[in-house]
Formats: sequence, structure tokens, C-alpha cells
Amino acid sequence: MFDLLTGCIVTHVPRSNESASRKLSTRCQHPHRATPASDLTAEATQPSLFEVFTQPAKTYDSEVWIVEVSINMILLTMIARVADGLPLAASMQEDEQSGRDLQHYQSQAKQLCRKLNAQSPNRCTLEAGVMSFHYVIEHGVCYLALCEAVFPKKLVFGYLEDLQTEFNEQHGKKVPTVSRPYSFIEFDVYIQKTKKNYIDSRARRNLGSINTELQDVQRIMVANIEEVLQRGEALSALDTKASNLSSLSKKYRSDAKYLNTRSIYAKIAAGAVFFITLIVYMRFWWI
Amino acid sequence: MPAQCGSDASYASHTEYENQENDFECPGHMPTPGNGAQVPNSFDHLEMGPKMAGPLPPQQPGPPTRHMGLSYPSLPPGYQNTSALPTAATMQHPVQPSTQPYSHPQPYQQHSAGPAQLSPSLSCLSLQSQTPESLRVVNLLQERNLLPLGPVTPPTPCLPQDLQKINCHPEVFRSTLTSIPQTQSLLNKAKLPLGLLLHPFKDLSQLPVVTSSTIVRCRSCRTYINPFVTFLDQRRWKCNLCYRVNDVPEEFMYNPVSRSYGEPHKRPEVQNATLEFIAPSEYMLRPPQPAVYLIVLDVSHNAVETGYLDVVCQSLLENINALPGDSRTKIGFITFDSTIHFYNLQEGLSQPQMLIVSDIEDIFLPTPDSLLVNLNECKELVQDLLRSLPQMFGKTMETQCALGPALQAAFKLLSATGGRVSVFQTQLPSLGVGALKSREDPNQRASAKDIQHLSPATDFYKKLALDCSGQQVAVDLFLLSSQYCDLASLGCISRYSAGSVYYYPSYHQQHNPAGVECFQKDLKRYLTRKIGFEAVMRIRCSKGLSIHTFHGNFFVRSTDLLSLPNVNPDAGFAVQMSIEENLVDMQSVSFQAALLYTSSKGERRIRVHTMCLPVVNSLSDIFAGADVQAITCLLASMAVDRSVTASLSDARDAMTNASIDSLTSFRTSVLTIQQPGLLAPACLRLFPLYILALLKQKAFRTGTSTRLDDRVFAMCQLKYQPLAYVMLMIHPALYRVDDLTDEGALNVSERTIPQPRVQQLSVEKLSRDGAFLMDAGSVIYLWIGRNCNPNFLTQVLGLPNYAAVPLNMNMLPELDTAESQRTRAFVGWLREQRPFFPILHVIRDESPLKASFLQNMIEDRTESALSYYEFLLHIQQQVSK
Repeated sequence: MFDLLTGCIVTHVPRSNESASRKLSTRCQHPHRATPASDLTAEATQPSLFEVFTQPAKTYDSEVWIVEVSINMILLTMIARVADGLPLAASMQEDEQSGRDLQHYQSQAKQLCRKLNAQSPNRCTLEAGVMSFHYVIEHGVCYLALCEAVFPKKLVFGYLEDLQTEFNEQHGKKVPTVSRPYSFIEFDVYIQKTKKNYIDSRARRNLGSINTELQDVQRIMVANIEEVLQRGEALSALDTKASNLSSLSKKYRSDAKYLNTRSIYAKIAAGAVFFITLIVYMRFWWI
Repeated sequence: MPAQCGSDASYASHTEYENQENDFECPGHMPTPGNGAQVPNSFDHLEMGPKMAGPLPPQQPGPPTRHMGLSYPSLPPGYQNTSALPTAATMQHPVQPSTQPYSHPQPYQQHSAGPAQLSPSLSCLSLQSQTPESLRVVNLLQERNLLPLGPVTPPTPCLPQDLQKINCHPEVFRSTLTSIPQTQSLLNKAKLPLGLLLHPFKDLSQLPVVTSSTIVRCRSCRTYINPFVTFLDQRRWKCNLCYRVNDVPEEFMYNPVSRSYGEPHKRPEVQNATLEFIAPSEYMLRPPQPAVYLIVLDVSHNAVETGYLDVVCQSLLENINALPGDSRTKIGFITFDSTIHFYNLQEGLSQPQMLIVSDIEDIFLPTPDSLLVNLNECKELVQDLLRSLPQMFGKTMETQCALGPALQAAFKLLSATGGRVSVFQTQLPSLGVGALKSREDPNQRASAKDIQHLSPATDFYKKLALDCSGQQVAVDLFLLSSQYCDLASLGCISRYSAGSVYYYPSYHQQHNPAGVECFQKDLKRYLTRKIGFEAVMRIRCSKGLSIHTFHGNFFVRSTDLLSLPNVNPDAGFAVQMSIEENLVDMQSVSFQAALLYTSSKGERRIRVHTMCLPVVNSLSDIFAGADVQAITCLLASMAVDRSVTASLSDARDAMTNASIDSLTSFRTSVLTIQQPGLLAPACLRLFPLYILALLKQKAFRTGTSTRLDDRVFAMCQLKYQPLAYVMLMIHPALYRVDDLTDEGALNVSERTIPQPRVQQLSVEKLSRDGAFLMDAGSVIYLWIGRNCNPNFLTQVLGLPNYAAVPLNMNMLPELDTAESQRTRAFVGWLREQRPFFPILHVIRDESPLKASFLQNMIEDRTESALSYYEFLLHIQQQVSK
């Protein structure tokens, strides 16, 4: 046991075998779930400081499940300049347990930012399988978020609006002049904080205001990500096909040449064998 | 387990990242260095190289190109005859081609006098008429005092003046041979190793930074445009590595420095051999990561007993605002004994919350976020924790220590972002995965014929390091211990994750105050120095050359891409090269190192160093361009590998053979007149001395009692320290300091720094009535003679007499006397030249450290090792066989 005179709350996290309940225990933080540990208090001088989880975590199954899911709700946030698709800020996904392949979505998001232009609709939702991209364009800056498709649109757009207001206030004037990618990467701190507010179900109740602000959320355009991304791809596809064709024809040519030479060799070889046999035959049998 | 990480290039752990990195670092064709990673470390071309006597390829001076207006001349036929060689009759006073008397120390290269940039052309020209200074024949058995007056300067490549002026600085990029042989057979004949030594992330006082939306690179080999490319006309440039002709992009025509158009050769990219690019977003796989620091502390009974927690916490508290980073910087803490303790530092908590995980078999994180917190927002909680941490474990009785699980936890915590883990460990890990057993038998230290256990006992640490490397996590290891800790195994965690290792033997707060001070200073430097995250480095070289072995701390990904989760300014690298195709019609070859990293401010940057070297076709030119320090350092790295894969005695033999072979080659192939003595070219005159120094170095010495951890740590340092520090480790500098004068002193920013001359490392040079300063890189000794000038004692040390010199004195008092000021200025100047803080030990005859001071006297004979003269005789015997 430690000398626990110092100012640090000590908590024992229980050992458990079930992976499900492990996840639970890893998320248990609310003080009301912990009971003071009698075995520790005997030695401790400041009993109030020590809390040990003694209750089986299973009883909190459903609640923890909610926490687990909601943590992964907004997977990716990106802010980019619409004019040239230069990324200005982004939030790194802290997503180890899900193991989802975010690289793919990340590159899609980058492509998307490059595809968008002044003619694109200001607010749009793009469906990409189980995920959706939502974006808002304001003052020449695109605010893009990747969520699970089931995540309420209202919340995402509230979140994006929130980012938009703050970003515009902090850095709006500098946006046209920067040339370095991720020039405002430090905005990430604000993004993460805001994200936490929006995905935490308890904090969500405080965000009642967004309901009124975003009544027209139902009218936001919905499109498929593939459509948007493939607009410019016809040409490049043609290009690849043409180069494929040329490389194939080259291969065909070399193959044909090879076959030709081989057949000539085969003919010569056959002739040679025939003549040798003939000579041998003549030599041994005729004479 | 093979020491060469290259052989694990196929280790499948981080496929995804690898592909992506390659995407931007090297799309398309990669200059594959032949059988690259599979080449085993060996002294092949030194030892077993075919004793080939094939005729030299016919000399074909290629068509002169733009660069080589002064083209390196094939030697005039009369050259070897004109060189004045000492003849047998004049052996006592060898005739020198130059006029300097032999007993005088020779400047290492002639450019000590004239302006530096003049010397290459001079030496080029001088070839026409007489032997260059570097080829002056020196009879090592006759000339006793070979050391130059001051520091040994690297040789200057024989390039036209304009190219030499912009060439990469030798402190950053250095080759063992400043003249590259034309063919592999020529290289084999010279018996000298060919390789590069790099210090890519060195702190530079000035560094041009280029921001542009397109970075101009060769389309086929992806070389960055550099000063050594050729502009065919305004619109096209020819790559100097693969010779492909590329177009100059429109944007490149405009010069932002002079604001003029149409002068692509005036751009900063083409004017600077070392510069940095701000990378566009194609060079980013993900948004640049924030600076993330995780401190992992051993808090078992043994650790608390040493009292190191105080120092670490105090240092962190002092430097918490100086940690490199921006507003996104994150920090976290883990402590461990037989259990793992996490600290919840979430904003809003009134005090830090400790979470104890006792399930070390299958480690998990007790809460998903708030273990790594934003440093700016939670600074008070972090400071609270740092203040209370040293007392928290004051009465712990836990002796076990679960380092493996703690490292796994650290990896889990950082794998989402990447970052730096600093592990403080004080004993052999005894619990959970990665537990180790003591392998050292103290009684065998001195007597054992061959040293065992230089290779790791378990591959757990290596595997974990590779996982870390894949997730951009680097682990730095601080080992503070009094007993054996198996650094050979533990070191793998840093080695493959591009971390660094620090070792403080017998660390104790009370019993070892010098160690404490050293630890404090090192920590300060460690915490505040520059850092690069999620880095990769690639070294390219001209077509025909290929890199086959890498030395340093990193993981080789895809044959020639070095993965460096963290890069620090104190890390050095070395590579070995071979000549795959003959470089017949080339006048020069180039080497380029490109380091892509994320700065602590979240900027992605590329630092590019380019070096150009001439190609030569005669053995004498190769010898003339040999860089003895670089050769020594490369040999040391190779010998470390050799002692792990084969045995220590093998490595020792290989080093001795390297010097014998090269001198034999010089004698038989370059010298035409044979005469007795051990003859070496002036540029290699220190070679046998350095080899002897290596043989007596902690890493390779035998016979003397050396703790296994000390030995392994010395080996680590030889592999990853930059050249300048390794050289001091191998061959310390000895100065006499009781008679410092201002004569010949340096003037640096209004301070006068006396420049005493470097003495030979021999007890015969010490005199009882003097005081001597030995600079051994990480430590400085000040030896006081028994009859030392009382003036020095009172004026510099502030002590009445010799008997009053305390046994552990680590400071020079600040006295207001001229002598004191001079001495302190000199010591201060020595310290300024390196980023870490060397401790000063004042030593007298009774001091316990006297032994380690005397062990550095490498020219003297010890009970188990030859003296310098005996070593020379041994070499001579072998050479004249």
C-alpha cells in the first residue's frame, strides 16, 4: 500500500475477464458508480480521497454502450479553403478501438475539398455507405465532417455552424493569404472541445438552441459521394485506359516477336534433327 | 538476432502507413540499392575482398562537363618519381617534400593558413607539380608527435572552387573518401571503407527555408533540385543523380529572393546545399500530429531509493514552458512497479486522479481520453502531479517492476497520435512480458576470452519497438541503475523506434552527486531540444553507387526509407556504400539526404542536404582524399555490428586488419620506392592511433574489467552519436592548463578563449607540476599534479595547497583572477561546442576516478593492451609480410 497523504485521488480499476465488461470498466468514471472502499480506508488518513470500484460493471451495460458509440460519432473534421482545396485545419481522429479504415475516408475528404468550388451548394450531405460527409461552405471556407449515417443531421450541422462562427472570428481574415497547408492546425483544440460537447449526451441537452436555428435542416441537399468525386474522373479514366491500351499493345508486339522467333527456331531445329538423322541413317545403314 | 535491422525490412506491422509514406516520399521508381537490406554486415571489402590484382581500367578522362572546368587531372606520369621520399640513408632525418621540420606538428591540411576556399584549387593544381600535403609520406615509427595543434579538420574534396563553396558542410554530411573511386575493384584495392556519415537534424544557426506550392524534383529518381544539377538551358535541368533531363516548371522561373524572372539557377534551391522546404499537403498522410509527450516512471522501491524522481519532476516543472510545441501539445504520465498507474488529468478535476491497473497480463487503458491531456489547459493539474509525485511513493515496499506491460500501455496510449515516450528505468524488469534475467557474471568481466550476451535476450522489445515505429511512437530510455540491467535487450526499444538511450551507472542522489548533475543537465537539454515527429529519411546517391547497410537508431522500411518516429538534433547516422557500376565517364557524384518531418509547431518540413564529390581513377588520389575520422567512425559502427553478429574478438581483429590492409595497400600500390619503417600518407597518419584507441575503448576493450552494460552503452553511442562526439569518445583531447596564455587565443563575442595545444594521450606527457584537462566528450577531467604550481591552485581552484583538493570536486569556483577567467573561458568554450553538458571532474592522485582518467591514456601500455609503439610495430610486421 502506498502512503497516500499526497493530493492525488487513487482509484483501482478492477481486473475483469470479459472483454465487454472491460470496456465498461474503462469508461466508468462517474463518481456515483464508485463506492468508498472499506479495506483502504483503514490505512488511509484521508478516506474521502480513495474510491474503488467494487460494483460489477455489468449493471451499466446500456449506458456505457451509448458512451462507446457516441464517442465515434464525428470521426473526422476538416477545414479547407474552397478556392484551391488547401487544408487549413483538421482534427485527428482518436479512434483506436474501432479499427476502422479511416485512411480511405481521409483521402476522400481531401479529394472532396479539391472538387468543391464556388458553384457547389452551400450545405450538403454526401452519403458514403455507412458514413456520411456533411459540409458547410461559408466565406470561401469549407467545413467538413465525417459521421456515421445514423448520427442526427441536426447535430452535425449545428456543430459545423459552431466551428464556422468561431473559425471565421479567429482566422477569417488570414484565410486568403496563407499558403502553408494546415496553417491553423491549432484550431484543432477548439474543434476537439466542441466535438466533445456535441457527442456527449448530457451536454447535448444544453444545446437546445440549435433546434431553433436549424429548422431548415431537412431541406439540405443529399447527394452521393461517388457522384461528386467522379465528376472529373471520366477524363482521367480515359487517360488510364489509353495508357493501359498502349502498354498492352506494346506487350502484344513483344510477345508476337518472341513467338515468331521461337517458331523459326523450332523449324530450324526440326530441319536440323531431320538432316542429322538422315546423315546418320545414310552412314550406318546405307554404307 | 541479427543486429542489422535492414534484414527485418519485411516485418509486417505497419503496411498501411508504409504504402502511404512511399506514395509521397517516392512515387514510382525507387532507386533500389541492389540487394540492399539483405547484405550482411561484414568487412567484406576490407578483409575478404578478393586479393585482386586486375589492372586498373584504362584511364578515360570523360568529356569535361560544366562543373569540372578544372577537371581532376589524371596524374602526370612523373608524379610518383618526383615525390621526395626518405631514403634509407636519411632515415634519421627524413627528407620532407615540404619545408616543415618533422618534429613540428603539421597542420592536418594545408588550408589552415590560406582562405579555406582556395585550398581545393590549390591542391588540384599542386598535383601537377608535387605531392599534395595529404599524400606526404610519414614514417609513423619515426615521427612521434602526429597530432595537429588544434582539432583535426576534415579534408576538402578536390572540386572546383565554385562548387566547393556551396558544398554541404562536413559537420552535416561527410564521406569516408572525399574522392570516390571509379570502380569497385579500385575501392577493393585501396582497402578503405566507403560510406557516409550524417548529422541531418543538427541545430543550424542559419537555414534557408523555402515555401512553394510545387517542390521541384527529378521525375524518375525523385531527387530534390540542388546546386549540383546542370541547367541545359532555361527550361530544362539535368538530374545529377540519375542524369534524366527534366523540365523547369513555370513557377521556378521566378526568383522570389531577387524578384526577377528567368533565372532558375539563382533560386535558393540551387544556391544552397542545405535547406528546408515547407511541404505541401501531398506530403501529409494525415493532419500534422501535435507534440505528444508521455513520461513513464519506474516507482519501485529501488527507483525511489535512488531519488531520481525528484530530479525528473523538478526538471519537468522548470522546463514545462520550454517543451517544444504549440497550443495542441499533449502530455501524460504513467508510473509502474508491479502494477501500472495512470493519471487522469482531465480539465475540471480538483486534483490528479490515479488509476491503478493491476492486470498486467493483458493491459488496457482505464479511461479512453483524459490520460493524455492538453498541456496548456491542464498545466496546473500537471504541475500538481509533478509536485506530489516524488513523495507519493516514499514508503513503497514494492520491489518488482513490470516494464514490459508499462511500455505496452504507453504504446496503446500514444498509438492514435504518435509522439515521444520517455522511460525512466532503474532495474532489471522482473514482471510480466519482457521480464529479463541477469546474464552477467561479474567474475568473468576481465578474464573472459570473449564477451557473451551482447545480443538481446528476448525479441519482445524489438517487436514492440517496431509496432511503435508503425504508429509514429519513439521510446527514449533513461537507465539509472547500479546493477546489471541488460541494456542489450532494453536498448532495442529505442533503437528500432529511433529513440535515444541515456545511461547513468550507479546513479544515486546522495552517493553520486556528479551523476545527478549530469542527469539534470542532460534532462534539460533533452526536454528543450528541437524535435521532429513522424519523420522519414531517404538517402539517394548517384547512379552506379548503392547504399547497402545503415547504422543508427531507426527502422529500415522498404529497402532505403528510414522510418524515424522522432528525430532529434543529437542523432547521427552512417551508411556503407558499394560501387555497383563503374563511374567511368563521370567527373563527380552526388549524395542527397532528405528528411521529412513534422515540427513541434505542426509544420511539415523537408530538410535536404546535398553533397558533391569528385570521382578519381588512381589509388594515390583515393588515399589523398581519405578522411581518417570518418573512416574511424564508420569502422567503429561496423565493428559494433560485427561484435554482435560474430564476436568481439572478430571485431577487434577486423579493425586491426583494416589498418594493416590499407597501409599495405598504400605501401605496395602507391609508393614506388620501398624503404623500411611504417609508412602512411599524411592524411592517414592518425589511423593506427585511432584504431588503437578503438581497441582500448570501453566498447571493444578486453582484459580490463568492463561492466556489460557499460560496454553495450558505449556500443550504442558509437552507432548513433554524430561524428564529432564519437571522435572525442574514441580519442579524448588532452590539454595542459596550468600555463594558459592569451597567445593565439580565439576571440568569440568579446571573450578571449585561450587555445592550448593538444597533447598526446600518454602519461609521459603529464608532469607532476602541472594541471591537465582531458576532454572526453561527455566528461571532462582536470588532473592536478602533486607538485602543481601553487599559483594555479590558489588562483583557479581557490585552494591553499594540493592536499586541500577535495576528492569529488565538480566545479571551478568563479574567482576574480586572470587565470581563473582563462580556465573557465576555456572549459566553457569546450562545453558550448556540444549540445549536452560534460561534467567536470577535478582529479588528484587519490581520486576514485583516477583510473578512468588513466584508462584514456591510450598511447601507454596496460597489462592487457599494447602501447602505441608496440601496436605500430605489430602493424609494421604485418604490412611488410
